Amino acid sequence: MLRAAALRLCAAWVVCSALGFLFGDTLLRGATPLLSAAVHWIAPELQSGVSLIDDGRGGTQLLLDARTEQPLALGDGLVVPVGQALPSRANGVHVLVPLVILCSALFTLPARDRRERVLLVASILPLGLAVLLVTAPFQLVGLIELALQDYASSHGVARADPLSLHWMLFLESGGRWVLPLVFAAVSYAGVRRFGTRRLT
Amino acid sequence: MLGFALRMLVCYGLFHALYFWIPIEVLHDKIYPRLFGQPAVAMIDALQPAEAVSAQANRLSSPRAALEIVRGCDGSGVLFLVCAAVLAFPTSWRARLAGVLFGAALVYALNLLRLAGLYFVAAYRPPWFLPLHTYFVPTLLIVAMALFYLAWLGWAAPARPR
Repeated sequence: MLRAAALRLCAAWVVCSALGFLFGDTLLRGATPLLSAAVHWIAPELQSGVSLIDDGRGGTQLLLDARTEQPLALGDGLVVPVGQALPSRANGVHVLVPLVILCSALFTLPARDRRERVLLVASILPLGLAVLLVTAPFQLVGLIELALQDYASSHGVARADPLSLHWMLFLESGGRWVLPLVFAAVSYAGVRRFGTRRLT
Repeated sequence: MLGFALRMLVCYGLFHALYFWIPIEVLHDKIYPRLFGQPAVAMIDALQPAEAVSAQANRLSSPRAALEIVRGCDGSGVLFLVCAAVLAFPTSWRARLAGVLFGAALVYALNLLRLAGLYFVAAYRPPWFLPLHTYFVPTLLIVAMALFYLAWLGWAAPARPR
């Protein structure tokens, strides 16, 4: 069983990585309205929009085009004025890493029957969306917060790290790998518990 | 399965908190050069002595390319992941200890290979650097460690306490 799982894992990784590399841009472009909405929810003080742009090196970047909608107080009288542009960018394929891990995990986990396999594969859509929403927007907003921290620090202002920055640091140091695995484990537990048709 | 995921998340969170407790200067000036920089230079020298690559603080540099090892790009995430998964699995402490030790050694070896490999990619195939560094290699490391974990499970599962 473990050998079969290892083979499924390798095959799933090859297929998911290739699909993500070839068609990830289409997926990200389609997701930009949702990512914009998530950014607005995370940072309502910013007027913002997320778009997918060419990075000039054959790849793409998610661009968060943000401006302050109201004066942003950083403490000790230091204020970012209204209308200040605060852009941030994330490498397109890097954003897809959690999705590749999620899909590879869901294809690898053993199913007892075809129905369980279908449910596991079907859960890719909602879980993939959830994984994307708890990673990419936070990475973009976190980069802005990092720039604001540097700006405050350069003016001698000590500002407590906001939650979005903590979350981004968690994601960047491996959280983006852990989250999809945890999501896959929760989905697997749900499918095992409720997904199997009861024969009476 | 849910209990396993929760235990793994708690272990991972603990490792992450301890890791961020280490000041960045200590990582850059003391840990990275000894743990990664100098061994990676030795590996690159062994493969291609003409590279004239050197390690200073958290940088690997040569006339051809330069790499910076930063927090989060040191293999810590994969290490914490595999250690958390090993510790979260209900088995004997002996099996867990073996899993953590062998897992850590494998992560370290793979990370050195990754650094040396990325150096050569940066030096000789710059257009490949970004997709490899940000997309293929991270997920490949996860797959490699997942394969290790499956092998460990095969060995450790029979030792499960009843």
